[in-house]
Amino acid sequence: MNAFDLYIIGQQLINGLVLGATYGLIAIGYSMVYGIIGMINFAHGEIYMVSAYVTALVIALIAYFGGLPVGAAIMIALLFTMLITAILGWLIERVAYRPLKNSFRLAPLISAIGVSLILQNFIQLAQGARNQAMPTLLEGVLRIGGEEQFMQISYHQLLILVAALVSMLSLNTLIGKTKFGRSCRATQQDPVMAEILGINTQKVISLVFVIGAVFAAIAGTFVTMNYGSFDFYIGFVTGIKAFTAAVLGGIGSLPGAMLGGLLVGIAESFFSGFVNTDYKDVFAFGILVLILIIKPSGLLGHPEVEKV
Amino acid sequence: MAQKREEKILSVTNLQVSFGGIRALDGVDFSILEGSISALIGPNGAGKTTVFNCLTGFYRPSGGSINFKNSQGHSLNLAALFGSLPFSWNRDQLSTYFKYLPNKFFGGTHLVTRAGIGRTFQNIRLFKELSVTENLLIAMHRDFRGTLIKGLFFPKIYQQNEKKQLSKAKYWLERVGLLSLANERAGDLPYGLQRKLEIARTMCVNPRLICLDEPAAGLNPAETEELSSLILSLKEIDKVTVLLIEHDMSLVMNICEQIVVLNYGQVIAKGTPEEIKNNPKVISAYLGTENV
Amino acid sequence: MSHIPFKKCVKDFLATFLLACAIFYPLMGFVLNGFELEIKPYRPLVPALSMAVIRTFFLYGLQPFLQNQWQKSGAQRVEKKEKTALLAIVILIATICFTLMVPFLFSNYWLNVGILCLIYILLALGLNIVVGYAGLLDLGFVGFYAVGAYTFGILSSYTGLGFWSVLPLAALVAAGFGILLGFPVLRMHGDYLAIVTLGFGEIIRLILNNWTELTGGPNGMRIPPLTFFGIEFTRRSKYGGPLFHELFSLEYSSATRFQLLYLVILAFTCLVAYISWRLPKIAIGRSLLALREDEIACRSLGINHVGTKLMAFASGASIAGVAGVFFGAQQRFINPTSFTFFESALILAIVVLGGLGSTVGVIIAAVVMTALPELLRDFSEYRVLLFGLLMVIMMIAKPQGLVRQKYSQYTFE
Repeated sequence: MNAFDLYIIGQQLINGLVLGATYGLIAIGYSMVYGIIGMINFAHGEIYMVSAYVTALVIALIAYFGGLPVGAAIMIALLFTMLITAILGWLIERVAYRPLKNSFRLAPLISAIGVSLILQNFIQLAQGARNQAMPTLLEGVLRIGGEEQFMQISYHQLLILVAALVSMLSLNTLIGKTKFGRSCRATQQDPVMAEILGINTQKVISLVFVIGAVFAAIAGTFVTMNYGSFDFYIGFVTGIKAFTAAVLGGIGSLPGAMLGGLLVGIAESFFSGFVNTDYKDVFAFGILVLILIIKPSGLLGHPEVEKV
Repeated sequence: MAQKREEKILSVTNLQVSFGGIRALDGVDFSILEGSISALIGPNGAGKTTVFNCLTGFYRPSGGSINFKNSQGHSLNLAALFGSLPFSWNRDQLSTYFKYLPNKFFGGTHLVTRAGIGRTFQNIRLFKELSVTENLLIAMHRDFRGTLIKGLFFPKIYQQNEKKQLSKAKYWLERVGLLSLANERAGDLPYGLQRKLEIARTMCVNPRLICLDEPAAGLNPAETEELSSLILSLKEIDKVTVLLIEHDMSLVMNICEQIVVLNYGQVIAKGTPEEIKNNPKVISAYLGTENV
Repeated sequence: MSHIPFKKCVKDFLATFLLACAIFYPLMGFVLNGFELEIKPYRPLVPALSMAVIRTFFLYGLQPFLQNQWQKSGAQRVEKKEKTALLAIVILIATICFTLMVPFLFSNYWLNVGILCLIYILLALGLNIVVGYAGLLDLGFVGFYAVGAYTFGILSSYTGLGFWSVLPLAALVAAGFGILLGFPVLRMHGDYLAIVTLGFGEIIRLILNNWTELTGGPNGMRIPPLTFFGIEFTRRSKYGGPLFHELFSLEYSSATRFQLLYLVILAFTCLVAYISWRLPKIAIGRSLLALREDEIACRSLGINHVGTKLMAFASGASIAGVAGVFFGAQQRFINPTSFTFFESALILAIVVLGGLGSTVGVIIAAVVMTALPELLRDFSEYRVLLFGLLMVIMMIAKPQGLVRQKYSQYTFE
């Protein structure tokens, strides 16, 4: 294998890592919610989609009212997007899931599909069905290698990796070290007992939805800045791939979600780079189906024993 | 008659089950005589329900064997029903191995039930949204084989056919005193009646061995009394062998002929109620000992 | 009794309004238009205000009314059984008469709406067997619909088979797919099953979209016009055979083909509706219900859960496959965009709205959900929003659906 191939492989690896980091960030939301109330938050992908719109709107608004330094603009966009999606995440839980706590098994999932349709159609009505675009904020790439053979990573991509790393570390601290994290883990283990011990489990559940939404917003903000193009339909496919990541890593496990995200991202990047671009979604769905059939507990999850 | 009673309907030899390194059952041996009432007792977590799950095909043992005498009087290895008989080059065993190999794909728990082992569950598992009668009819679904076309397009003929099953359902509803509640939603019944309905439902699959998992749990003394007479009548009237898991010792001591005591996945004692009562090992398992 | 706490009322109103504004302002008050931004400061006020009003109304305005309703419902329980049975028969006959008249009373446009209605009834009844009866949440149901339609497309363009011979074949192929995809998911429950079936549905669509040599990819496939067992409906014969309107000495009308198609679908829908209505009353249907309630208890009672599940998948899939053939025959053109996840969600919404497991409810819901958007064409862009809202509201308010499934009553002499 010559150096040229190595650079191509390296490039795909970088693309895959960046893609995987975003999947991982979104997967956190699926994984935490599933871990705590045992439902698939089907509308989570749509939160990611909404965050893309909010980011673009904020950036456009900043441009409209006169310039700010790029760094400040990005920070403001990120914080504002996080705030809006946090409210959205909280609202969705409050309105569509909380009343269904004691309903039949399929009710929350059906309700979640409803929410997902609502969000998609709402954005379509509010912002139009057209494909949206956003200007590039940070020009420039980091190049590794020589003149003809090199691999590169754009500053936006770098930003995604850094953001993913920072947010993962802070989440780890939050869950592992703080009082909230302890109540969160307790609720995951046994919600009834946690309630008896004086933990406000309802608040924990709400906060978990908010955290999930915020992480989706981080992914949404930076991915939108990186790709610069989005529409109201991106939530569905990205959401499913992120869910695949959550399942691959072991649903309920946070390091698992990130690991699964990276693996799915790299696998997808390699598949579309070296095998076939048209079938890359088939490949991702195929992974999902295969894991669920062969090892539904994922890489870092605990296997469930059938209780009789 | 006396000779027949001595026949074993079920023999469990060296049964082993482990879950990811933890040995839930470690060489359990016992056998049950046909037409008797036996009990499986032991402290919580001793592996009683695991034994039941093996007997009724929900778990596959990792070792040992369970032999059940089926209605033709042949001894049937339960592993055969899952197509998971041990492979060997012995000529006789080889032919049985291949005879039951299709079960690897088409077999399963339901074949155990069809062979004649019925069971109830610790936490009652009724079809809550369906009516009491429908619960019983579902248990008799084997009697409805080949009635799809008739049922869909010739309701009148189907109703004629259904009469036999309905009269059997009526018989069982009367036995457990639920006839007046036949069209109620099963989930709406009070707890004690749900237990009885579950037993009636299991009896509708014509078992020859019925495994009751803590039938008296959650019942008050009067209900327990009724339950023990129901269990005795299963033996006397229906000639069914009964195996039960129970924590209510007075019930166990009153109606059982044989008791098997499990602790830490091993049989620590078996015998008549009298023998068990005075067995020091059993007492220490339940109450603990001073000198370990 | 019906005193409304005014202060709390205002507080809740304002809180709802502000929260709604927080969501609606960023997303509705500013509209992205390329790199430009349009500012529409008044647009978010309408939905935000209406949300606040609706919430306050539900919290405080509805209470006295609800109490009355509750008192009333106690008295209404006594019903006259024979009278309702008679009424049901009258309504059934009237409905059948009306549906039989549809092709001869209405314009081509409404005839096509009617055909679409029937196709959705079929799909919803098929999904009802899987989700409503057997309790297996299938989010990839549209895949079998696509399999049916594409079986028609592929068989007709590669082997020249017509509508009538494809019909049973498509049912078989779709049922085969149902079993094929059912096998791997046998041990799955609830949410995981839903996601895997969703994956299967999407995989089917993506393959149809990308396998250009076989399916024409996004450009789709043409479907030959419907014939009456080989007799054409066209004005002039293309292949030299006799023509339908000549053979039956009718005047030529472009509607004839759709009239026949409508009647064929109607007949099939009636059959499926009857089977679906009858199913819970017989043993096989009861095992499906039992499977929905408790799989472990089912196994302990000797029910072969593998076979029962596969049967549910196969029968649901074959109904969807037939619906796909009808869809192809009506549209005369199919491409993968007709088979997206949204269609699955729509069919699920119909089943949920009608009441899981209730045949009558599902039929009514299918008619309403298909015909309503046609009636309210001005609001057609709000259709999906409405479906989503209905799904959420139904789950919260009336999870058993509009028409609750009743279990059969047995009398013992």
